[in-house]
Amino acid sequence: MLNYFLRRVVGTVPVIFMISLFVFLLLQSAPGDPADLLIPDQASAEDIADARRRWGLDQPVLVQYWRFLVSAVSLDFGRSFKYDEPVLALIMQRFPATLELAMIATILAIVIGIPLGIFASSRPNSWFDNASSLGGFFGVSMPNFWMAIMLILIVSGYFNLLPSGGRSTFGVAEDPITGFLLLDSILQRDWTAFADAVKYLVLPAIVLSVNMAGLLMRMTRSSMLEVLSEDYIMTARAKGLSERVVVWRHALKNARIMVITVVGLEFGALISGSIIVEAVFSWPGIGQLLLQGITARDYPLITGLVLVYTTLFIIVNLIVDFLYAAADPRIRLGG
Amino acid sequence: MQQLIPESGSAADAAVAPVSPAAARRPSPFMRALRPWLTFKAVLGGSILFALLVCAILAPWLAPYDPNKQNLMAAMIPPQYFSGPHFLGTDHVGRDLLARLIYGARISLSIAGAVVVISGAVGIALGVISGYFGGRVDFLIQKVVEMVWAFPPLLIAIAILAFLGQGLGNLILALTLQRWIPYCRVVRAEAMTLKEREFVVAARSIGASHLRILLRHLLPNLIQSALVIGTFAMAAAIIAEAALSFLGLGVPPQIPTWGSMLADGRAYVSTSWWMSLFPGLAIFATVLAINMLGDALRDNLDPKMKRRR
Repeated sequence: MLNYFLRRVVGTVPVIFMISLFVFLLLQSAPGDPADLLIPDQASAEDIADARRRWGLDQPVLVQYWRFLVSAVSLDFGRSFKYDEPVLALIMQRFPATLELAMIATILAIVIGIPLGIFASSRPNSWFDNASSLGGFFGVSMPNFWMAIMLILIVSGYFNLLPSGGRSTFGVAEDPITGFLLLDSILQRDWTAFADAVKYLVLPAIVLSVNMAGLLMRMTRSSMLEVLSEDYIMTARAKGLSERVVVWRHALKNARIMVITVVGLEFGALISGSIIVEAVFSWPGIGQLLLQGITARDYPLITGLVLVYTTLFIIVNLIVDFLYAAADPRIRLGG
Repeated sequence: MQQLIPESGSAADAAVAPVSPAAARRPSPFMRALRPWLTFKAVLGGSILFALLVCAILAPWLAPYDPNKQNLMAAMIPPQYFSGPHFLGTDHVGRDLLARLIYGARISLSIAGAVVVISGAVGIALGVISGYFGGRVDFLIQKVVEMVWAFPPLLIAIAILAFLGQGLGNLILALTLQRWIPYCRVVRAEAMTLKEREFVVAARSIGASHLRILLRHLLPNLIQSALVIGTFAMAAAIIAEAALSFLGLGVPPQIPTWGSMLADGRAYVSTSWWMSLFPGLAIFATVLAINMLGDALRDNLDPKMKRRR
């Protein structure tokens, strides 16, 4: 098991290396010289040359890449042009908000999608199955930015039930412990703040979860149907086990591999989706930071964020692989 | 795989069979070929997509107005349906919403189509080479696949557009960059099993070149799975293009796309709901239709992926 895990971790090193190269090449091919962006127009030619030397822009590309790599590995992404703060500090400030939203959305998708899929598969072609299959289609096809706007229009605008944007009414709690508002308010036993945080979280989390919930429902249904037609299920039924035990204990155990795959694969889509959802709901996470960085052509900030997003995605994939191996002995022993 | 598609074999049977009362009652070969496609998913998905294609192709004749003609005197008119000149109303600068939607279909479908065709060509080519030749070539291609796949899907597109700037070319590049991976993976796996089959070994033994085997023997057997993947890729590309246009990273603002219309609408959502409702509905209906059609295609073309009933 440990052996398998170590092999997978080592396997990601070349991938991270290639990604850094890709981001560096993008940065190189961006229109305009970084020096032109940073130096005031009235600067003399000597000033520019001086600045280029100071930033290492006069070095050969390979040397520049080496420096880029060294600083990226030490998590030093430089200073943001726009905010004039270290990029890492900016990201760390906003990262918990994004992670909180993404995790709640994932949990929501699992809680909605999987039971629906199981119920649908246990009564194939019933009205419930057909209705939830259609619901699954709707879920996977829903453009989440549109759903966000429509929910704001109806829930926040028309019925005035929930706030249309932001993360809390009072700003961040006086002394954040983890940066996760839900967790912080529980730790501080501040139930008004907790209720407040929930109120702000509901709409973005629903919107972000809908694609994953639809896909999970559909995949759970089809893989359950496949498992339920296997011989060992017939044996279990023949033994006289109740249908509940057959479905929830025997069948689900084998279907969960697929569930892990879908959650893992879709987490990438979820992270990308969070960029848009954060924009629509003014959620103060790194997605919004990325879009602000793009508008301001703040290259250090964009570079840092792309690397952070990608690393997060790689870590999630590693966790998925690990869960796989835990769920399926064939993988940890064979692969 | 071939038996599941009831056209060629069964059509020949029906032509040879003597005409008896029993045979006369049997559905015609055409109907029998058609029957697997007459499901709710296929018919609904197909007709929505057909209507959209008609809109996209005939846009200049169907659209009631020039999609970019501004008229500030007629700004933000609510939908009038059949009681006025602006069926679905107008936007904040008085452009007709219906006209923009119809032209938007053109942009959305052609960008998504270009993405699907380019990524399909690249993915199928690399996949079949990777699976057929194996060895070092396969290793190299799979390393590239692994690296590109390590990016969260939309992020790679956002990164490219952020660094290289907007524009149609960059948008298609940004969307294509990851979209070829699913083709490559599936085609590679199929090519690996196909190359061991007798017809390929036989072709090799009579001296057929690698290129001939790839093009004449492997490719025709791979095209069905690629078609299924292509359909889902089309749906994904339409959503991605709309999302990027919505974020202001897509095509230049003067070109009407559903995503940028939605972005316009968002600013006026509290006063003019129709500006957000209809473009989003168009994206949703298109993606839903393509997904349904893809599902039907998979059920009918790809027995391995067919869901049991």
